[in-house]
Amino acid sequence: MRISIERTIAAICTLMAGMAIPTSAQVGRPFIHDPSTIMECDGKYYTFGTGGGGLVSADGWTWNKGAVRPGGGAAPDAVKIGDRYLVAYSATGGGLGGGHAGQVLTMWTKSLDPQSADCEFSEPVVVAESLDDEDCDAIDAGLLLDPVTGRLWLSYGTYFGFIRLVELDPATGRRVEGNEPVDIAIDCEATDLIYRDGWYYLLGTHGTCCDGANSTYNIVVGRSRDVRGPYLDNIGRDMLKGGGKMLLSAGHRKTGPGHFGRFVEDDGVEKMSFHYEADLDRGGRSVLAILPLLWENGWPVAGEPLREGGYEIESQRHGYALELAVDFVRMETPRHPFWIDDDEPLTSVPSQTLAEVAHTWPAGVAGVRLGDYMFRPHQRWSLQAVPEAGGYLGGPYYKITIEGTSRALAASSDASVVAVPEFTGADEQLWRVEQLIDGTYRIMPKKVPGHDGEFALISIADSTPALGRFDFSSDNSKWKFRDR
Amino acid sequence: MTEIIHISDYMIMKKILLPLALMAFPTAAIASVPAFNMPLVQTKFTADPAPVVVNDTVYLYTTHDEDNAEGFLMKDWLLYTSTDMVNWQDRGAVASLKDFKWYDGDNGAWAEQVVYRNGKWYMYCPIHGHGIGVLVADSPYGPFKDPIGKPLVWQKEHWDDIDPTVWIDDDGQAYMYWGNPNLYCVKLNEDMVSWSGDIIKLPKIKDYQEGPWFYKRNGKYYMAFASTCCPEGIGYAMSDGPLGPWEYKGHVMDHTPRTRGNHPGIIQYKGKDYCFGLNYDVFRLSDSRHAERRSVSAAEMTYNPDGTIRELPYFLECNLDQVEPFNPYRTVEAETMAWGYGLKTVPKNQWGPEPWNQLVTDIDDGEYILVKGVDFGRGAKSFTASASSHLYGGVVEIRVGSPDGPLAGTLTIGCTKDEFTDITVPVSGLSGVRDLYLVFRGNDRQKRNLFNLDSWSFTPLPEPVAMSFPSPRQTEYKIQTPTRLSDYFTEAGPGCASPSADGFIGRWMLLEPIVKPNRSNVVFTDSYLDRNLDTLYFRDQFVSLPRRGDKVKVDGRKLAWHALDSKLYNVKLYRFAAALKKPVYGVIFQAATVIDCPEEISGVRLSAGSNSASKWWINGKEVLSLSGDRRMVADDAMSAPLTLAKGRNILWGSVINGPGMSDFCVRFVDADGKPVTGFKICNQ
Repeated sequence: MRISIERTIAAICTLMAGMAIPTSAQVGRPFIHDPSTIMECDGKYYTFGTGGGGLVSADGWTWNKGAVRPGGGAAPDAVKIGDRYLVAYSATGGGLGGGHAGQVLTMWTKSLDPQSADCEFSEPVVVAESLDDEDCDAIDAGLLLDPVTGRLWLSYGTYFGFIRLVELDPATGRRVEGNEPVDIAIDCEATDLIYRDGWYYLLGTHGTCCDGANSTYNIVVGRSRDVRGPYLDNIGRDMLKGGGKMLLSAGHRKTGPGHFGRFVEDDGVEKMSFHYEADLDRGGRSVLAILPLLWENGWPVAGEPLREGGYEIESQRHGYALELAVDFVRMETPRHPFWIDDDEPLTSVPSQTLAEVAHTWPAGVAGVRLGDYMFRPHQRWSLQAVPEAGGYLGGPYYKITIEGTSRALAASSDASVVAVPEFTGADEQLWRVEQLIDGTYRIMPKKVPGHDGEFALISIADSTPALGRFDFSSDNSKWKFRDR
Repeated sequence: MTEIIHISDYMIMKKILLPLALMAFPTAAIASVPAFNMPLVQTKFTADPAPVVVNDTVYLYTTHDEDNAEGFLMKDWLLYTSTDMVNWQDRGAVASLKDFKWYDGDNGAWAEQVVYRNGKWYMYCPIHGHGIGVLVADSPYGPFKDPIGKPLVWQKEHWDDIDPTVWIDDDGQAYMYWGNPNLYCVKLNEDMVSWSGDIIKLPKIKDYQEGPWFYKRNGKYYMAFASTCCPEGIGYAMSDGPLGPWEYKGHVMDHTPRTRGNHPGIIQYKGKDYCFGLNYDVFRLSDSRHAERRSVSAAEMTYNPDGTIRELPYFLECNLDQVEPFNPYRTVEAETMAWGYGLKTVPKNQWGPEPWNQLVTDIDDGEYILVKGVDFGRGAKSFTASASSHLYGGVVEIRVGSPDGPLAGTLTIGCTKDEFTDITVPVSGLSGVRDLYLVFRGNDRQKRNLFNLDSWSFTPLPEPVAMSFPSPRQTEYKIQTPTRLSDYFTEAGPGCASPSADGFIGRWMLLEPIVKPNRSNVVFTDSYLDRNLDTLYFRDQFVSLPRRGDKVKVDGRKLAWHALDSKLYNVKLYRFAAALKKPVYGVIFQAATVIDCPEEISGVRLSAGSNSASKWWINGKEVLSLSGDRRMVADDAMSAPLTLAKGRNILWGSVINGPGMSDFCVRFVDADGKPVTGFKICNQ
């Protein structure tokens, strides 16, 4: 039987073209540059980008074109104030494109949904400007509605001079009468301001923009007790002198993270949005990215994308691991008592294999509980994205199966978890897995049969998992995925 | 195999496992397919069983119907050996017509019998139409040689001289009987290959046809025979003397159209009696028509006190139990099997030092070797097979219980270029006595004649090294710390109490411990708890509250119920037992109480911790199991949400322990994890 070389090559090319996108990236057509902070409106998510328009997503995972933003220009940001949205953008793209005379404008809309009658933008108003040779280039708006004082702040600027801060009126979106800009940082652009727990944080984008796979873009941060600064980094350097602690750089075949935005999902659950200058798995295009946002000792830290693979799922209540409720099968290994000296060569004892124990498991549904982790087959779970099942902000739905089998973790109608013998893709077998701000994870079923509302996998006893309300203040709601 | 727990007047069958095959009367309740007592050999057609017991082994000599026989086509004599009556080792053809130089034909190797005397094996062979010859060998496997070079007897005027049967009487006198349709006898000399006196023709025994089998038992002489053809049954006669007079006694097995021919062989082996015979039951697996392709079967046989034989049903409905388990931890010749339908055996090397050694061949996808009652003991670690293949090879699936039973391991045989190669694979889940199925599988390219098997063996799991610490002293342990019940409990008055502020339940009926020694707490797997904690020790267990002072008898011990309130949030069972000077280690505790609710309470969970493992029931339904070796931990595990009925609910717990201080704590929590306290706990 002869095989045509040409046909083989063609087949391989087709195969590679259809290869799945790694699960760490948003899916759909998430192509955008300089995305604004993600806004939620009527159950959908929106982000605006340079040039106009933007992306919209129904679930937060699959993004496509469809957001509408008039005005053109570059690098917008948005904030929700009361029942409407304030959108800021710069008229120009900054010095790279032309001179440094710039303007930042704001406009209001009640709805971000282009289909909605309320999606009507007000006349844009200039709120900050720069002359061609000022120590500032008025681009890259970043908005903060201070939750403590209720005041509204705008940061803007790029490498040409300073990053500046002005105050706006949250009722009108206009510059406050008499407010003078304050210099708060140098050596960055695409800034954003956030507040958390008594600190104001200035996120800046550092490194080279707009250079595809060679963009060194990265995201840095400094913090201040006062919104007007000084913003100091982790070793006390002032961002006005170029300080900044890096929170994210290139990795996982994506370069140039920039344009930070923060999305607070829930107490203890935060996401950061940004773009990658080049996603090498998608032809090097600029893409929207969403990662978990962690907080460590008062500093924001980018979480890691959760990799598919085999894990121990460790309850953070007591520390027992999720396992099938099956007999513990003893390993019969030769014992070398410590009080006997022997010269026997050291050999490697193989770990217990699935084949050795799987025939002792029930054929149908198996119970799930928590127990001492012993890296045994009934405690090793495989986390795999289910591409056709969609996702949520920052992640796809996963199936969680016993490694080497098709037994899948599933929510059951009495608000507990079981392992069904075959994964079918039903909603109760799909899991939303999100990293919390402290680095642990919450695990939530897409649906609990017979119940409405949101449930999370929780530990209700040291040895008993169940589905209940997620509570960030309790370790009962938290899990770790350990590879050991 | 039954596990029966005796409790005073109540005898409760815990589990009843009936052997799948070989029931005296198949009943539909056990298996959907009736279990037949099938012939002993399936790899060849065998007839005219001539078993002889020498040194704890049954040597079963048979005639051999060729695979393609229509009428009788018989050329050689075969030997099979066994030490358990169900697994038979094929020893090949030990003698043939070629061993008789005075006979030129290639057919006629009819019903022989072999006896052992003075270190030699004597085979008496009829050659149809040419008298009866004799062969001698130093070993049961041959080579058999003709010591006299002519027939031993041949009455040329007729063709009656077939079916010799030989017995050596207590006084050393050997007799040879034979004949169809008449019965003849001679006295053999001590050399066993010549005779003295005249040929005696016996008076006709009622229903006698052929195939006599002569032996002595308890001072009486027996003549079993194939009864009047056709169909032939097995009849028998008895006599007080070796030469008769023979009194007809009836049938060992009646004539039946289910087999056309028959031919008895009767032995006593390891204390039981057996009747062998022949039928067409293997041939019937493929064909309904008649052809002389016969098979030897065996059945357990019993005598009445007067020496007569209790009649047996037809072979398929008879009993044949395995006499002893089969040891897998040695080299086992692959041609040793209880069932090997579809397979063939061929000699490995007839001219070598082991002429009886066969290879199993003609191995096709889906066929299997069954070895019954294999004793794996503590457990098997690995399986080794010596196999050869010419082309693609195949796979041996090591299964137990049935051809599609649990898989213990898989051995892949590749192309060994016709060389016998040892291949070893690990196995798991093999312990105790199991029926072993070696199931053969091919692949896309080859489904037939996959490989040849010479032998196989298992290696056992290594013995665990015993630590030199003293092993836990169970049941006999004498507690050293004087324990007063009042330090931990108060005697509860009759009536109801409240749970603690945290919801812990402290009022209990506690039973003095049931003795249940165990190797260690590591055995408390979920299956172990199912087997040992679900046990009913007394009537109405789990569903009815015992009264203070009630006694139950378990395994000969009288155990009393006590009504107690724990002074702590947990119930220290160890101290309860110690204070009463009862066993503290290697025990099962039973605890029962009534949860009395003013209204129905739904959506609550039972939250428990125990030392060591435990199970919990509410109103007779199991709600929670804590397996493994544990200590009492508050809120260690919780049940699914449940509903407590308005009024009385029986809460029952059973805690098992080896070494360590047995203990438990129990409460109910609501959906928010808060303790439920709105109920009363009653001890009556």
